[in-house]
Amino acid sequence: MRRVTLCGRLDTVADTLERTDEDTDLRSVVEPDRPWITIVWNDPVNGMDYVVWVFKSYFGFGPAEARKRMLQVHHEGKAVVATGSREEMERHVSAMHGYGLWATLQKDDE
Amino acid sequence: VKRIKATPDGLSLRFSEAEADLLSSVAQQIAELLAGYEDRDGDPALERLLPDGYRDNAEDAEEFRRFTQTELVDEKVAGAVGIVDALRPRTEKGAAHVVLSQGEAVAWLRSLNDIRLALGARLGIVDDASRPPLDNTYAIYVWLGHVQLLLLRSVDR
Repeated sequence: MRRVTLCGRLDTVADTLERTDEDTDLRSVVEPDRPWITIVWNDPVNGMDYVVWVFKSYFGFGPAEARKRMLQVHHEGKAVVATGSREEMERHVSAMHGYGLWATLQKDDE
Repeated sequence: VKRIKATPDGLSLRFSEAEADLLSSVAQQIAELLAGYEDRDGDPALERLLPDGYRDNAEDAEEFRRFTQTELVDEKVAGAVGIVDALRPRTEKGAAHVVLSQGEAVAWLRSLNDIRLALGARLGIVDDASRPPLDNTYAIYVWLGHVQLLLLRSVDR
C-alpha cells in the first residue's frame, strides 16, 4: 500500500525534475518503486497451443488464465505477462526468447 | 510421424527415411545459422530467433544482448544438435525411431519452434496477413507445425 502512494509522488517529483534538469539522473532513485513489465507480442508463426503451453509451464498460469493471455496477445497484439523488478523481467524476457516467444520488458507506464 | 505413443521408456516417434533426413537437415542448418550469429547483418531469421529485449531503447537492448545472447544461442544450438543426434541411428530401411523423455520432448518442442521461426522468417511470414509462397520450404514449415503439435499434445496432458 505504501508503495503505491509513494510511487505516485515520486513520479510527480521525477517528472518535474526531469523537465527542469535533463541531466539529473533520478531514475536510479525512482526505479525500485516503479514496476517493470514483461510484454509478449503477437507473432504469426507461433501456434496458439504452443503459446498457451509456454504460459502454463513457465509462468505457472492455470489453463484458463494461460488461454486468456494467449488470446489477448493474438487479438490485441500484445499482453503483459509479468510485473516486478527489472532484473526479474529481464530473466522472464530471456526465458521467453528461449521458447521462441517475442517478448520485451519496459517500465510500467500506466 | 503419424502419431506419438506414450511408452514406459518415454514418447515414441517414428520418422520415415525422408522425414528423418528432412528434419535432420533443417535442424543442422539452424545450428549452423545460430553458430554464425555474430555476423547477423540484419538476417531476418536470426533477428527473429534472437530478438531485442527492449523495444525503444537501443542502448538497453544492446546491453541485454551482451548479457543474455551467448547463453541463448548455446541453448538453441544444443537443442538443434540434439535433434540431429537423435535422428542418426537408423533402421535397415533408413527410418528413425526416437524415444524421448519428458525433458527431451520439451527440448524438441522448443527447437522445432526455433526451426519454424527461422523458416517463417525466410518465407516472409511477418504478420497474420502474410501470404507465403506455396513452395517446398512452406511444405516443410507446415509439416514441422504438425509434428510440433502432435508432440505438444503428448507432453501437455
